[in-house]
Amino acid sequence: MSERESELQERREEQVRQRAAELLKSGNVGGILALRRIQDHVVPCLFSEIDDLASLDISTRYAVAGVAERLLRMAGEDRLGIVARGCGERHLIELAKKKSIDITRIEIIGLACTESEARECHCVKPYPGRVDAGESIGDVDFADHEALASLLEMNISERRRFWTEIFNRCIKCFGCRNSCPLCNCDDCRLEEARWVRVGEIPPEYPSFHLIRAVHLADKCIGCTVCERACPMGIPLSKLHQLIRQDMKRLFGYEAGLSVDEKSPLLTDLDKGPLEVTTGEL
Amino acid sequence: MNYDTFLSVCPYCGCGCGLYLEVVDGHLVGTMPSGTHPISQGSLCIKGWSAHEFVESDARLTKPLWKRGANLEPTDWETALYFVAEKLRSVQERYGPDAIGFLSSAKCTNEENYVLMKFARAVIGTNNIDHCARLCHAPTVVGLAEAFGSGAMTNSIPDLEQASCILITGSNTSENHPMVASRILEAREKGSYILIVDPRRIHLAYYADLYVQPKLGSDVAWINGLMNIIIEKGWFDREFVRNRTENFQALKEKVADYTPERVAELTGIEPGLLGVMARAYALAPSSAIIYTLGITEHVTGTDNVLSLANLAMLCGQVGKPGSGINPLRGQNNVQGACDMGSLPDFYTGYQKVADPESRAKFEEAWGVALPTRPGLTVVEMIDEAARGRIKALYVMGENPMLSDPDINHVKQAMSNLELLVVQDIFMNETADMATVVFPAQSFAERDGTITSTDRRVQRIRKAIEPIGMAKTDWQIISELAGLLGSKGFRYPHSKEIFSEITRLTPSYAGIEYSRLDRGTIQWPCPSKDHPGTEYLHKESFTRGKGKFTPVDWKPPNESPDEEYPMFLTTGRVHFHYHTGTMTRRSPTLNREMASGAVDINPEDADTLGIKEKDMVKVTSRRGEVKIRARITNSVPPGVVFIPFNFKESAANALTNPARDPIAKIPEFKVCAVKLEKAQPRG
Repeated sequence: MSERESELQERREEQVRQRAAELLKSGNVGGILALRRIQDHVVPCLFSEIDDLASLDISTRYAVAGVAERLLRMAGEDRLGIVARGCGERHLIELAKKKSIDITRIEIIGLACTESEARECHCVKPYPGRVDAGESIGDVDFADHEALASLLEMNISERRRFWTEIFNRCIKCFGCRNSCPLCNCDDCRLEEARWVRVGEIPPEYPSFHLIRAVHLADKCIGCTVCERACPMGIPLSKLHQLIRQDMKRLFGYEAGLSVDEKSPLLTDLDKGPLEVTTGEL
Repeated sequence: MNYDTFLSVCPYCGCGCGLYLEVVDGHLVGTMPSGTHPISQGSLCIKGWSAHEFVESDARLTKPLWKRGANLEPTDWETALYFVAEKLRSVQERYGPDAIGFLSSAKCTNEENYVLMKFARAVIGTNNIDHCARLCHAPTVVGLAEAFGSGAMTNSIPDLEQASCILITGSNTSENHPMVASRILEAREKGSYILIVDPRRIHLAYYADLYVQPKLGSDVAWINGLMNIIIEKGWFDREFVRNRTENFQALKEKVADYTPERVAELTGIEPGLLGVMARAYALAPSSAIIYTLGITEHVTGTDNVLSLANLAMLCGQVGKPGSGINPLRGQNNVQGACDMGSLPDFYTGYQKVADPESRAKFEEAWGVALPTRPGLTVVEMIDEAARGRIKALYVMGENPMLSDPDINHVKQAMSNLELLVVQDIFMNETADMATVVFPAQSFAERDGTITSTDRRVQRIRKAIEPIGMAKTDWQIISELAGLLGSKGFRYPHSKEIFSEITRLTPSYAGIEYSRLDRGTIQWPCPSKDHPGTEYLHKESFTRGKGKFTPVDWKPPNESPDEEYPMFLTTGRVHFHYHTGTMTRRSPTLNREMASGAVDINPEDADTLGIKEKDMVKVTSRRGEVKIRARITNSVPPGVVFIPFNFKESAANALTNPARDPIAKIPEFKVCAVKLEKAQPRG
């Protein structure tokens, strides 16, 4: 990290701490969910004392929306402050859409990502709705278009070969599911022997991976946390990116933008098939 | 509302992944990988992700138990501790200290292993202490000590990414050391040549540049064959051999007998393939060898390890980044348990019991006279118990009734004992037979250090209060020591035990808790300003010059015959750990795999009329098990595989207790069996 970057980092951290302290002082939240530095380790933590905020850290990324969901469920009426980047906020919005959380019980401390952070995650919207720390660099396009294009250029048998080779690396750790705040169904199909044979690695191809991909089609906000959790280097975020592109092309839909927006895939099928609104199937 | 996370280390395999235990209002609710940890790097395998699941299980032992008539009944700590202290004292007085044996645990911390080792030696006065390393990597400790002077993994897990060739043998890496497999795939992306030699077509074989399937128990033959080609072709590292090794001439003469044609006959590996393997390993700028129990669990385990060491030295593939001999240790703290002297012939840091100088050092530190003769190994203790010469056995966190070979023999030995003390977190097959059972704390309830496979010392941290009345293993032993009149066990916290360890152990001398709070440290770390050691034997070997030990191939102790026409080999599966006491109580893991299966090649299944999921009876000279069939090409014709994780289909009812003459490891990996379709019940 350059001197300028680390200065910026410190300033952002200070801004987050200030806002967190204000919230705690106001008594409006029961605690602040954020990351904490303990010597060389960074751990997710719930801050409830202003004095502890000195150890608050923003250098690493963990998806903590799943933790927030659990805490809100256990915390009765308490409200919660959460330090969230653009992706963190979009996680919370999607959870609210699913009615997994009541977003009115959350105070977001918005953290804008730097350009290099955004590049690292192939991000397109590296800022939350409300920015308390850092400066928003606005909408960007850091998607790896070259890699995506090369995937799309493959013919069907090349694709099959490529993805078979990739997915066969899987050791069924469930890290992609466990790390994703939005892959949180009460009954996970990936655990059901009827869909995916149990006790085998690699898990059945393509059912394991494609069930997951399809289930997240209208939820994935592109945070790349699944790919970072994969010990076997499976490029999951590219797969999700392609699906997100299709969702946008076909239905003009993007996950994570607003609680009021409804997924076009939600239908009881009584009213006929899904309607493609903007693109061609 | 209270949410906290505690950095700890996964309690399963030797990779040593850093993970956070998530605690809400005093209860464990989840596990999260550490993104800043050098091994896990934000990932875990399914066992790691499930590490919290067994901790608060209803089945946890919460009270001391003692045998009343035929049953184990709850009692209080005072009664149980007095009873055990009294019994130990009386056995010691009547039969002498060597009538008592101790099994330490590779699941316990360094501090706990140290305290039990000290208790056995300083309080009871016996060197009869050993642990399950005997059943996994004893040949590594012996073989690599002989060749290099140090019996540990030479390089590091992160270092594997730098290897230009990786030879994997007798290790089902992606199932049993997933984070190492992760590095292997990383290395492959960077162009590393992946060479896998294994009788089973393992998951990782799909990603090998070359996969070779040798006959079971033929390791020395193919390794000698490689060396023969390498010497003949002049592919060996002349300078390394000249400057850094001794006894090359003897090796050269020995391996000359292993012509490709003869090796093909012994191993089933085609002569041409052998040449490709030799070239790939010898000529790569850096080649790393990875192995596990497929190499060690043989009557020739030590020979197998010596052969790999010979190969690495011959090619100068040791003592530099991306190279070395990398035994992957099974348990999360099996390296530490060995380092701590939970071995019958060593104090901490491999200081020899038989060496008067080392002994004097520990006598002075502990203020007592210590026994001079090395003690008995795990398997010997069981034998001596069967013969009536071991009268009391103290088992801390082990389950020999499922993990040791020839279980029927173990059972007979156990029932001979006057006192069997078991200290564990769950009831298990061994605890069922105990006189007294002490409830111990799990990894989530205690502080301490563990040493993972690449000599990496790291901290585990107390995340929740103890379950029931459970105490830490070191507290239990310390209280017993106090009752037996010893004053050397008054430790306020595990930290003080660790300080005592570092004072007595040169390779740990520079490590302290405050340093470990900042990150992991790999031994040797001789001083406070030493950063630790990523790879061993850089300038010279621990013993000075590396020593070639020529060895000849010997057949397995038991080979198929008319009555028992097939080979059985055993191992672990991805979703369970060892005897399953923890994993089978973890809902996620149990859901994946609730019972074991025998792997049978389709050809054999056809001949025997066995179909997928049929119940099969597998019989050896020592016992029989009934188990479901899984038809798979991962085993070659003539070989079946049974995991040893499941008590209802215990592979070790079948295995052969014949052992390596030096390391005393039993031959878990090869025995002869017969298979038949089981008669339907009814």
